[in-house]
Amino acid sequence: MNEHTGIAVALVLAGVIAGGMVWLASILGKKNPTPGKLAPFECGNEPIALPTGRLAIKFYMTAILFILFDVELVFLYPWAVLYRDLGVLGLTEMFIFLGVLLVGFVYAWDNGALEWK
Amino acid sequence: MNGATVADLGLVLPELILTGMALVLILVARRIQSTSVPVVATVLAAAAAVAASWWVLSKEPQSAFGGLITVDGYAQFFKVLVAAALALVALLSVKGLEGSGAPRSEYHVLLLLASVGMMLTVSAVDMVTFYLGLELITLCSYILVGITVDRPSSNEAAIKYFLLASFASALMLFGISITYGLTGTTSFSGVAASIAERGLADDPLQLAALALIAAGLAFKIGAVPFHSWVPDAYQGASTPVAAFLASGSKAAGLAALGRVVVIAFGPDSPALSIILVGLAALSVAVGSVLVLAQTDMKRLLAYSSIAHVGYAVMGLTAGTDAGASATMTYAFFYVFMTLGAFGVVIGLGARGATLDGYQGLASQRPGVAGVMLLFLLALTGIPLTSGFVAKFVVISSAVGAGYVVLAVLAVVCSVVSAFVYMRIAVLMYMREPESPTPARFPVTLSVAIAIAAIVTLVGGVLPRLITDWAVAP
Amino acid sequence: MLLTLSIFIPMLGMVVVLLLPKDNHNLIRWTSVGIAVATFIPIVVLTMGYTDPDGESAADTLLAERERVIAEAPEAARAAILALTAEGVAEANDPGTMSDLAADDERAAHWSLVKGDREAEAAYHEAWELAIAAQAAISQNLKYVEYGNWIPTFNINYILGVDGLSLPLIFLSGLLFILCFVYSFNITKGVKAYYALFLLLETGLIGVFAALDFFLFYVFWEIVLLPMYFLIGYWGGPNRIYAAIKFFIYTLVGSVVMLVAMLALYWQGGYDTFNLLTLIGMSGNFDATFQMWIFMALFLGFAIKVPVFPFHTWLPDAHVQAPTAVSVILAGVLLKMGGYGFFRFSYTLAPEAGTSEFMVMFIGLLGLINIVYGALCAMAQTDFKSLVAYSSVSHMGFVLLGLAAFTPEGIMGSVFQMFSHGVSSAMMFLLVGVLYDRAHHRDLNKFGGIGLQMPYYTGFAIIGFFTSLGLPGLAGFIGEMSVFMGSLNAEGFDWSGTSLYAPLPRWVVYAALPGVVLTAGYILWAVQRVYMGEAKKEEYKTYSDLSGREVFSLVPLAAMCIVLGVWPRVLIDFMNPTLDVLREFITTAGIGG
Repeated sequence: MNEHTGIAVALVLAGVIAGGMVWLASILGKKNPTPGKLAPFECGNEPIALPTGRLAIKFYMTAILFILFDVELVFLYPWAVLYRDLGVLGLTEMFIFLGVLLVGFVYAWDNGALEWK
Repeated sequence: MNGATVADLGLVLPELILTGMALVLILVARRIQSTSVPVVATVLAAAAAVAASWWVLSKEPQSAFGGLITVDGYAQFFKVLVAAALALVALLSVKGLEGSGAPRSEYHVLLLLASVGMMLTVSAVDMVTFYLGLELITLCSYILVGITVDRPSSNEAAIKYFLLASFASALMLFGISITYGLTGTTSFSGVAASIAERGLADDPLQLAALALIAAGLAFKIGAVPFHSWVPDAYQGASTPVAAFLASGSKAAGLAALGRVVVIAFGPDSPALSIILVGLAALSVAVGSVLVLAQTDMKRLLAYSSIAHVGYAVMGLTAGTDAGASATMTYAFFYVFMTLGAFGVVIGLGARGATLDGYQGLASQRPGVAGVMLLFLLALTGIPLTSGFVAKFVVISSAVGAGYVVLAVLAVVCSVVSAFVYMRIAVLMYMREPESPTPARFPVTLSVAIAIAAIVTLVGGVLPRLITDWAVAP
Repeated sequence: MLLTLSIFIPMLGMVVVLLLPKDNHNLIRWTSVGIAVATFIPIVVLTMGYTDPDGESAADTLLAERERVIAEAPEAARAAILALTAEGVAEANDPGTMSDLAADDERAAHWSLVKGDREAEAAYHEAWELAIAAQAAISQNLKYVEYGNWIPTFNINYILGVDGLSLPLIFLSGLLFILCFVYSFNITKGVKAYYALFLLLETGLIGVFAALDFFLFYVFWEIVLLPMYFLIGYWGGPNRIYAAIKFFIYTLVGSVVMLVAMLALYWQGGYDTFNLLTLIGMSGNFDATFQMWIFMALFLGFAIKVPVFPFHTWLPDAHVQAPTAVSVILAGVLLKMGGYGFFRFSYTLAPEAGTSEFMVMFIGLLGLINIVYGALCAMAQTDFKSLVAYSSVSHMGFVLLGLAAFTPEGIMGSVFQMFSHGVSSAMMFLLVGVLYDRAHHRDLNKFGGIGLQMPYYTGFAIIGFFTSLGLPGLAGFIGEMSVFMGSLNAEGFDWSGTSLYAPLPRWVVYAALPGVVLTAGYILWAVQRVYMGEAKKEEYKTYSDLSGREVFSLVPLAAMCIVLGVWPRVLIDFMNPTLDVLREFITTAGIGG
């Protein structure tokens, strides 16, 4: 048997079960829509704005900066684990890596990406 | 790391120089007021990179970082070419970005980083490094295409390019992973050895992987049928960016294709020959025919670059060392021809953007018209220009490998495209001007165009300077 | 050295002219004339020295070069290269065979000293090329050979040389350029660019006739394209841009096909050479199919230039729209490039294909069509220049007819016709130009009585037009008569010992004979309409006769028409040795393999 057969089977099974449940629910359940049921859910409050409203770009900036520096951290972990074996070269290269990202950080700082307005 | 030493850092000195300059420019981005500082910095960095790559080559050809990259004559040839393209584009950008509101420092940082990507690509002998280099080029190119944010055409071009390029990169990565899955290694020579050992040359999955990688690379260099992004991206981007894409990234893509073809998958693979012949024939034909209908200069140069890439790939179809060095020669001369033509387009500003703007140029600015004529003749492939030498070597290697029909197609298409280049010459020399005399070109632009013109002329008369240097990997 | 001078003096002259101030027209004109004269002087020296039997022959020069190459080769390989490329043995030791040499072959010992060392192999290749070139039959009559390395990677060398075929054409070019420069004193716009382009054209044309390396030939051939394009497109008549583009694209198509043929020859058999003489020397080894392909590919390139029906349609447009001096060069020299190409390249590189039954009929028929169709078209023209253009088409048909015959008279007539047509059509275009300068139109039906007003001019016109007609006593007759005699004799000729099994049938010649009558018809009718009768417009009576500049341009040509008509031996004795050897080579190349 191919190594991937198990995964394929799992995919199909999961898809069938989950999809089947949703489908069954949509067929077997009663359909009785009321205005209250159809309104968008906003934790019990009345909706105050259309969902197509614009978001402030600052959310995106924060998210992106977080991702970048988080991935930087991720790269630090394997380096830390193999620190001895990687020797001087590893240290140098990791400092260069951190340096480059520091430059990026300084750029973001200078250009107001860290401001929350 | 297996076998990597501190000394390896010295082998990537050109890339380090460019990266260092890029970092410095990022840091001082908001602190410098004059627009000439980034340009000077870029040109200096490019010159230093050229010097560094000469120095690096004085050591023996060797692989660095445990076989991830190699330092040999082939890589050095292209590194010098990339650095030259970088310097010329930086000079072109002085006038090219005038009034566009693009942030200068960031622009040059992106140019520098894209060049680092190019240098990495041309010296990569491992699939991962090769992909890394290409992605670095692509990422920087996305932003460069859209850097003039206040122009809707730039934004549109950037989005188009981004979507198509991501898709192509995904295809290539898929091909790389299949190859890894089948051969168990990512280094080019390891792949070649593994294919030979395990007899994978005819394996359908391997062929599919090869096709995917070729598709990704073909997208990068803008070969038909993966060329649809080229005209739109070149037209929407600001002209110096288009020049950079047309020269540097094509050269890097061709270099990578050369290594992939010659080292990884071997020149004897019949499937690879079919793919390359198909790419070459289609690119040459489609590029030459579609260029006839264009009235926008940037689109015209885009289609001409598609055709030229077709000619360059023809050299690789032969599968011989002579063929690979023919492609190198073609890439070299093509970069300078195209940069020169783009330079003239930039210099003429709004007038230079459409074909009609060239009407009567010869009576107003004879020097400009003369140098444009030189580039047009080189693009057509008239003897005594480097364009003819380039076409000659690739067609020669194609005929030598037995692809006579391909060679005939190529020469016929060069006549077809001659029609449009000569049309520009007619407009310049044989019609009366309708627009006022254009202003003198700034010194930086003139220097860049002059360098391109000198290479084009010298290459046509004494080509052995370059052909002797172009040694296959 | 003299050949290189005559080729590159115009190019240097072009640079000089470009540096002159553009408003000083007289300075530019006289400088250009001076440069053309300076180009012509070495040519005259070459011509006079050609028949001198003491001069160094091509074989000597090439063998001397071979010695030099061997002396510069690496020490260890010298003796081996000397032995491998010695006379008599070199033919079998081509690079293709050597790379596949069996280990027990007697030459293996020599080859092992050469193989592997890049320098030694390159030296061997060059020495072999030179050895074959020296012993090629054509080399017997070549003189003034100049040799130098240009692009070693591709074995492209700078080789020049002339023989009885090319030297008259070079002489004609040099002379015509001087006459054209003097005639062009009436150009008033863009004088500097005009003369600069013309000088570049001269370099290209003389280079084409002198080049013996295929790549070099191709480069010079292409150099001719660009100046012609601009000369027609900028200084021409109302429809000039169309004519210029048509000429450019047409010729470019022909030349790129020629490029592919050139590359096929390079790669054939592992010879890896562009040296024409070497390729000719080895052409016996090309198989018949390959030869046919090469012949057809080269045919396309040269046929467009000759021009051969049906590739002639660019000629009337180009000729009519071009300014007078450009038409003169176009008709006088450019068309000969095609004919020369046939003699020098097509037939020598693919002799079996050329002498095959199909090809003899093909060329013969095309010649016939050219003669008759060209004459009929000429008769129908109302534009004087157009008539002369079609008469060029017709006269070049004689060249083809003579070529298809392969008899001594046929070949001689063919080349003689090329030369005499160069002289006569140049003269005719100058004559039309003289008239156009005064009348500003060329409509044949509107002229009349010019002879009354311009007697000297009419005298020259009679000489020029009657040469074209083929009147005995003038140059045109010799060519036409020889061609007809030669091709009529083709069938009854003793072809034993040659590979020509199916000579040109007589009926082709019989069908071409009416061409003479038609030629007489249109020329006489044109002369009668223009020069005879009453003047149709009053202004014709006010025209001035020839000016000094025009006389200067016409006199040498008229003199040559008469001299060649009365004492053709001047040219025939010059050409015959070369043509005999050429003919011998072509017709016997297929024998014995």
